[in-house]
Order: sequence, then structure tokens, then C-alpha cells
Amino acid sequence: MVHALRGIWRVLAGRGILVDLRPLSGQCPIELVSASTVVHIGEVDATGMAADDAASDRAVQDAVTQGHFLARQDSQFDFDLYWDNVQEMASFMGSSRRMKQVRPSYADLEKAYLVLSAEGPERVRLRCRRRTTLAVYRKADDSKFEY
Amino acid sequence: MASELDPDGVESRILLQATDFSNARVLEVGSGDGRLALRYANASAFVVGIEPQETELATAVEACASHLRQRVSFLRASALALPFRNETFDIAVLAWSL
Repeated sequence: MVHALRGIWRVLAGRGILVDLRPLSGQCPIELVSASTVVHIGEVDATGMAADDAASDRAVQDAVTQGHFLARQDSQFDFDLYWDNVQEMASFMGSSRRMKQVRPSYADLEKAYLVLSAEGPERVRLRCRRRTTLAVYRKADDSKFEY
Repeated sequence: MASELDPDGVESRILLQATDFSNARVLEVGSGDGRLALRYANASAFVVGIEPQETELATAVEACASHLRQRVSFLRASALALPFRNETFDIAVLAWSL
């Protein structure tokens, strides 16, 4: 990560902007969503890369502490992922490095999905909300990153 | 694959509010399938997305609409060895990649 930041610092113009955008590790709610209803039915454990995230945080913090970048802004928002059915969701989770463990089981999620779908003609989808962070830094004018 | 990622475009809206992309030369590190870069490309001078994975890169190139091709390019590269001269970009976006 330090090498990546050093390279980015090099290719940024003076007072250039670095934006670090990534999801936060943690539990993400799974909901059933229709036009009229939102029902919480479970959670995804999205802590699969917590150690990597912590290392990234340290690398950025070190770059700031050493004066290579100046912190300008930090904000958070929800990044929504939607699936049309439980099978699509399971397929996505199978290929995700960050999101693995789903609670309750896919079978239980499927039951909840079928129950809500049977209540009316509205389209029902699954939604997972990922808390995401966006941090903005400015390349410091007078820093010298060795590379 | 998810049916839809961020269908309301919250991510790109917050990104565009966070800094001024107008006339900016933008490097996106970890551009993946181009989903994010293609959403903000119109606001910038040009965007170069780098992505180490060939399949993702191919998806990004294919997803790039013809009217954006003058302004957006996707390259196979890693943040660990950026193939650019010093001070080439005004903005670097680390998109889920640090």
C-alpha cells in the first residue's frame, strides 16, 4: 500500500487530489424491498478484508503524518446492491472477497423472499447496504516522497 | 453478479461533490469493469482507468459508450508500477482498491 501511495503521489500534479473510496468492514443489512415495503431479513458479514482495510488505513495515515498528503474531507454513505432473487445474491457472494457469511441461511432468505413475493404483484428484490467511506486528500506542496 | 450496483448513483454523486472534476485529468486505480469511471467521465477532461484483471478490463472497454471513447481509456496496469510520467494527473481515485 505504501508503494501504491508513493506511485500515486508521483503521478499527481502539484496540489493534486487523492480520493480514497472503499467500503467499510462490518455487518451489512440484507433487506427485502418492494415499492411499498422494506423488511430486514438478515445480515452479511463483510469483515473478510478487515486486516487489509486496517493496513490501508495505516498506510494513508502514515502518508498524512509524514506530510505527503493533507487530509481535506471524510464522509460516509450507503452503497446499495440489489438482486432479483436469492440465487443471484448467492452467486455474487461466492465471487466476493469482502462479503462471505450470510445470516440466516440462503434457504431461510429464500423462504422470506417467497413469503413477501406471494403477498402481491409488486416486484420484490433483495438489497444489501454497504457503509462506504470517501476520504479526500491533497498532495502537499513541499513534500518529497522517496521513490 | 448483482442485478444492480448503486442504481441511484449515490457513489458518483458524492464523489463529484467531494472535489472539482471539471477539466481534471483523472486516474482511477482499480477501475474494474468501469462502472464508476464511466459515471463521472463526462465531468472531467479525461479519465485513465487502470485495472490488473484482464476480464474486468475487457468489460470496461466494452461498456464504454462511443461518445466517451475520446475521453476515457482503460489500461492493464498495477498501482505498484504506474506507467505514467510524473505529475500527469490532477485527481487520483482509489476505487475500492487500496
